[in-house]
Amino acid sequence: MKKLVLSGSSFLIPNHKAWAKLQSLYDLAYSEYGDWSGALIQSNPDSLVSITINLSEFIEFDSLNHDKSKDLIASILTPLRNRLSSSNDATIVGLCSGKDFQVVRDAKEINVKQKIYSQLLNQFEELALEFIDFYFIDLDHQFSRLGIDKAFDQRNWYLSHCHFSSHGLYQIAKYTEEILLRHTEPSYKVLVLDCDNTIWGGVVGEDDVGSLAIGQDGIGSAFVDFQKDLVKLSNQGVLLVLASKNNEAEVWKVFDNHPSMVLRREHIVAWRINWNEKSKNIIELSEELGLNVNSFAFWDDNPLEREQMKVLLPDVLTIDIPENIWDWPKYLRELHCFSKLVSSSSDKNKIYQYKARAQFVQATKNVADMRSYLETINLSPSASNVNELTISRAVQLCQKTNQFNVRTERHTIAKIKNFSEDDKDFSFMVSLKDIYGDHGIVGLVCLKSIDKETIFIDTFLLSCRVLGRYLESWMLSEIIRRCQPKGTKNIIGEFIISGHNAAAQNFFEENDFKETEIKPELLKKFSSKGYLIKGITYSLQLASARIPNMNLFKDV
Amino acid sequence: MNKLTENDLFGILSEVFPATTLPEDSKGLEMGSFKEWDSLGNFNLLLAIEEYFEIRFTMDEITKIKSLAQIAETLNERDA
Repeated sequence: MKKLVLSGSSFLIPNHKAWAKLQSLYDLAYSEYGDWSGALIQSNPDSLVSITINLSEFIEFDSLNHDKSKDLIASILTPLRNRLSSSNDATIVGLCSGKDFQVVRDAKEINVKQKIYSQLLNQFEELALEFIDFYFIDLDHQFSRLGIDKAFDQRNWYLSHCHFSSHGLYQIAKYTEEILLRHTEPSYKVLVLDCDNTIWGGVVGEDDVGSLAIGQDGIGSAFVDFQKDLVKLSNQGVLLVLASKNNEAEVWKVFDNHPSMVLRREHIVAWRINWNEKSKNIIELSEELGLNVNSFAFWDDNPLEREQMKVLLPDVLTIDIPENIWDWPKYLRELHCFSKLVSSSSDKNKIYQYKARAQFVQATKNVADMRSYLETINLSPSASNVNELTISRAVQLCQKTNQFNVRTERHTIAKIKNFSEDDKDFSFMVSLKDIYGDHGIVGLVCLKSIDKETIFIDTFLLSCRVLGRYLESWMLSEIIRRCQPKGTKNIIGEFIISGHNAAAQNFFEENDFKETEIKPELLKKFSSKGYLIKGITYSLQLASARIPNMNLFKDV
Repeated sequence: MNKLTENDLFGILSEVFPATTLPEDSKGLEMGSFKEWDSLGNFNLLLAIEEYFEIRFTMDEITKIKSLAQIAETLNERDA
């Protein structure tokens, strides 16, 4: 179990029921009361750390001048930065101001705690950009949802030096849990939507297109707002698909002809509009998009359909939607399941790329000889070194790629930078274009030099969107192209079974690698570079290497 | 409403002190009866009681109550 260190400026009441859920998920360690800076500086770099800071516990605010407030901010940021620059896993800081509310006084000036609070949040935001594993919680804001007074309990302060009420502790535990969950688990990628009474009011086929509820007035405007939020999700890279029991032509008629539709055909990546079981349709859609059903969420107004989905496809997230449509837009905006902790500029293009994938799969259904078909679709890969602009995409690929990933190392920004510091050619990303479109950056390779003649493949991964095109062979040829001039004779690869990466299992053998045991002498060099070899190892002799499938690719 | 007895609090007790095997009869249990029920354990127990019965103890009560019997007594007084 992963260790999670909990600490705060307040006493956090160890073993309080609020911590029970976190306790079941992590090896929970409470640091000494008040020693949050020690928790930051001394915790193991591999542990998770979550601290809660209440500004009112810091200093007598009445006597605060400009210099003192600068000191106060520094006293928080210094140990935090110290931890972030050496840690390998998540750090969460929850901040609350503990300010008091006085409307008359506050009518003339901004509360001094409020000022320092805002400055700190701005600093945290900068740190969160710089350090991918750093997250902060604006507790004043989050508490305000259910009422900031409910989160605190002065009695507990005088009894035990805990400023929080039981309710407040439950909230902090919940926020921490949700952030840590997304830190390790990828977000949902696909939202499956029903049509009738879901994206519009009424039933196509029974009602005229004109009498459907989508529009400016009353409940029709709630459907329009819901559609607007769906489009926003789509712009963030969530794939919208339809699974509805209708006649297909009637559905598209609404999309094409209803003047108030915000959602357009181009937002819909794939669809199954038929009278089949929806679970069967989702399985088909998952094959078409190349995404596991556990990345699908399902939104349907019909409780029977939802119950059925929960039973038949429990891996799909069936969303328990509010009963009233007017609550939907806000509910959708507040769903955690689609929010990402890392986003990269290529997210926006995702939809086109998945659409391309769906078309590719549909086309190959009718093809007898896959390789000769591939020769006709103008596969044009290209490689580029990881740089400042693309590094967030590299980290995202490391975090999210499960299927074609030979070692499944979840690297951070700092780790990936290391490879390029060794040699700028040793970490590169692969993009692909073909007649189905520009797929963007789909592959990542990180290499480590073990000795003069030996290169180790630390990371070799490929997005599942483009599997089946033998792009892995081209990536290997690119490795060779980069290594040969440096005198490399031998490339070593390792396959570590993760339980999800069967797609990459045969990669080495299918590409001229031979399964090899690493000699003890070389093994020592591996461990001096920080590698403990635990998987199956393969080697490729450059002098005699023959990489297959190269005839499929156009040189760019 | 029937009076609460010490044994009615068994469920909460086992939730707050998961590491302890509690005797079947909770009667007579108090702070110090087992390792987990130390002063921090006592505070956690009272906070759990507050949450479960939707009541709020005074500071005085929290510093004085140290046994199941006292908890039951205080709850019964509140109810009366």
